[in-house]
Amino acid sequence: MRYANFFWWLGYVILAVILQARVPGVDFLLPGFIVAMQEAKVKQFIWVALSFLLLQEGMGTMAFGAVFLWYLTIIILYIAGQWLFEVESLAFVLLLSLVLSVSHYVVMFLLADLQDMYINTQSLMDESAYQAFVTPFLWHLAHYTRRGLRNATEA
Amino acid sequence: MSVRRVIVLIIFFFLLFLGVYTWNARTGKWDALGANVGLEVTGGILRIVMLVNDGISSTWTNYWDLVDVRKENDELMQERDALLIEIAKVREEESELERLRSLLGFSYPPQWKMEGGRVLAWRLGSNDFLDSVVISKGFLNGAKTGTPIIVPQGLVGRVLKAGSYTSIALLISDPGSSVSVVTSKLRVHGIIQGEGPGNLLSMRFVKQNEFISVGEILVTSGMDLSYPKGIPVARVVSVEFGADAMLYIKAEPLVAFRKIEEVLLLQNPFERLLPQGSPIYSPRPREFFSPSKNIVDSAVNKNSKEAYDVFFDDQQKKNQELPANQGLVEGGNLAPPSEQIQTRNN
Repeated sequence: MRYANFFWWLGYVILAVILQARVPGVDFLLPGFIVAMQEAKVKQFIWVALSFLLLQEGMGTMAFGAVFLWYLTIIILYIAGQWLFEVESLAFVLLLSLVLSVSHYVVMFLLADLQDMYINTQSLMDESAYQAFVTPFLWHLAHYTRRGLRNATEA
Repeated sequence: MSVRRVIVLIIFFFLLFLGVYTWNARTGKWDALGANVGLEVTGGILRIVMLVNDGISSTWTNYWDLVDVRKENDELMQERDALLIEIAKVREEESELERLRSLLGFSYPPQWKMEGGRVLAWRLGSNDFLDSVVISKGFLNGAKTGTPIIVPQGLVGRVLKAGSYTSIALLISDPGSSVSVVTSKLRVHGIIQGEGPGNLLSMRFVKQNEFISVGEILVTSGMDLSYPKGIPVARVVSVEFGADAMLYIKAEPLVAFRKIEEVLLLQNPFERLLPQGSPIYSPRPREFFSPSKNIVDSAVNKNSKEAYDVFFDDQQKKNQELPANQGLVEGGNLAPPSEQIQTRNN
């Protein structure tokens, strides 16, 4: 199970990087981050969160902070959502994606302003909308392949 | 999880964020770690993907390429013959230039070395906020922070963030990029700044009494110590009068940034001896310091624009009357600078 799990995450990262190279400004690692939170395995979540943080910060051009703050809002929203929704349902992920795209816009705008960067609000808004659109699809794919992997290793 | 625990966690993470943010702003260690680990892993993945992609596509395209190879070969042979004549002419002019330089005692500018690299991707991920490209060279093989990047058509940008074998380059089309340029004919200096992906570039800090014509090529001036002199950057497409005694000049880049696949990285042979060049990313000025972008449409400026046009036409007529060897070589439709100054003083 351990090796299968490792290779699944490795495959997911490769797929996300390829997709990020095709669609600029969208975080394709985010659905994997949500899956890691849903599985509620603390050790795995810490590894996944740290790796994704390092990858996104490394391939980005902003100084440290934007990804950390955004992923932090995801954790907070997820914990808040746990009290009200069934977190493994598609409805919850759809709602979470919408809220996350808004928080993406706010966090990026704030951090870019803090670093005195030129902000193209139109393209930031477009990318946030793409993010909201893409996240549920990739989450759905990741969620079901993880379930398939679990079933296969248990059998 | 209780509400109290959640609030404590939020406060803890927020304090952690502030701590790491200020520590990184002071030392830059997290950014360096990100460049050396995150960027390198990404670069490695993209290299493998590119290798597989090249393998598959080359097998397919090699077959189709054979179909038109004979016709293409004939065309290339004709082109080669024309280029050989052109090279012979250029060689002759080059040797003349060297002779004249030695006669006048001019020192020859130092030669920048070139290193080839490949474009791996464009903007990557949500944290890549700037107009940039990822290239297959890092600080261990020729791409240090600030290294200029060109293609045969002209200037592309500079390395912004360098990992060990992968780096991110800021394109000149990004609003944070600024390059010191000079017009190719009348040698008017200015700063060219990006206006975002797909938009024209802006040439700033050119006074209204300077003469710039539409179609003129802007080349690097070398004054910012960041680029070698004479690299083509953009072509002027419009010149307008601003509200602050400046000309507002728009120029189109000579490079189609989205189509570049290979790049050349320029290595300065005297990098250690020279003072540090201009910053790679120029931060956005605060609103109350930024100059007005209003293009004036008042009667006064219309008059001055007409006067400028009349003056320019007059210059061109005078230039046509001059003997061939006194006019400017390229195009031959502009007066030499000395003639310009003389007319202006009159």
